[in-house]
Amino acid sequence: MTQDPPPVRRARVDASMTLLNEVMHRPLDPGYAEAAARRASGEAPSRTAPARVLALAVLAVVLGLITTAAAVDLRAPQPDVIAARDVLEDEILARQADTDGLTDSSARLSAEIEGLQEDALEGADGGVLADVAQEGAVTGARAVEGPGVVVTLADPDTGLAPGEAVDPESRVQDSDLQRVVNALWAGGAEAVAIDDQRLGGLTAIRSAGDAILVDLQPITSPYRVVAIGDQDGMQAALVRSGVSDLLRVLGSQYGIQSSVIDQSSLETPGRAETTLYFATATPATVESDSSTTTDPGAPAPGGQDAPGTEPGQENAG
Amino acid sequence: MIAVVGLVVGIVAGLVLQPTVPVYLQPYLPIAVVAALDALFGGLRAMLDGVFDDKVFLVSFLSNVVVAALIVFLGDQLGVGSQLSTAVVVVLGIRIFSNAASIRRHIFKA
Repeated sequence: MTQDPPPVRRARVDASMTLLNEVMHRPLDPGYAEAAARRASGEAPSRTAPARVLALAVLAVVLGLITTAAAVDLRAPQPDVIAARDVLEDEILARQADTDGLTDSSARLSAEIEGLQEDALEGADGGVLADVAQEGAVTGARAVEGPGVVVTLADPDTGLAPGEAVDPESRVQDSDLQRVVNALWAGGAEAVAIDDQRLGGLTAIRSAGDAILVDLQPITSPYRVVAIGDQDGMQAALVRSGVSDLLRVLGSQYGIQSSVIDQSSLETPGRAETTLYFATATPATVESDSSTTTDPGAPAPGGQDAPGTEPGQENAG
Repeated sequence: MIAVVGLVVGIVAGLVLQPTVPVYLQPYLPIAVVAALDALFGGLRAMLDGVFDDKVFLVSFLSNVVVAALIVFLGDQLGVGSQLSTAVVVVLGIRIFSNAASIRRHIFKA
């Protein structure tokens, strides 16, 4: 890579690339060569003139300072980014507190409504109060207690050091919970709740990013699926539908711990939110049998997935 | 030699004092640093070639930084700031590579 200017010759083949050639083949500032030539010919002024030395030194210090300041500044995290993050964090916390308060007040009001309903229907014709209670249990509007089955699934190594990332594939997936819940419904569950989120006819179990959402509420491992109803029927359904095999495979392949336990006394809360989609006037005389109540597994109106309708994809890794 | 010593003093001072850069200068920092790197490598190579000159080094250093910042400034005003930044980085990057290769040949003879 010579510094000498190329000798005069015919038009170069790559004349159209002079810019690139200039950049590629003469990377050194030509000023160095000129200065060297001047020095060689003895034209250069005395290099020890004090003013000149001083100017050089000051310029050098200033340039070093500027460059270092620039580099240091570029490496530091931007303060406004941090500030924005803090603001967002505060906002998230405040909104979470708001949500908690509203959820509490909703639960309180639901209980109040229930009480008022009972008071109001006390003297009504025999079946009405029982019907309301039955329908509330089926639609998930009311808290339910009784014997049932608890299925627990836990992500592997939940006590992992915070720095280590868990393979997202090895975690409990929404489809796993869907299959468990579908089997429980099929086995005669009357009320199902996941981590105290009661499932209703319109509840969706899906994942958004790393989190599993039930009714748009994120839930975290360990996932505790509480089903109240016929214990034998549900246990049989779990085996028949292949969920037991699924849980075994999840345990052996991904280290997902799971358990299925009968319990004689369980509680599920009522749904925080009940939206009435269809309201029709009840006939004057209400039949005492409740065969017309809404089936929780029935296809939901609107576009939401009902847990009973989605067969749940295979979770093969 | 004065220039090199001065630069080192400036760098140490910058690390110790941690001066803050005004906000309106911040868009020009990355390009300015790349330009400074280019001048540094050029100076190093010139030193190995035996043609190093204090004055040329400092003037090229200063003009590199100023011109790079000016180009970015102009680009920002014209709405092509990022493209011009890319152009500057490409040109200076090629020069840095060539000079680094030349330095490598000087040092390792390979």
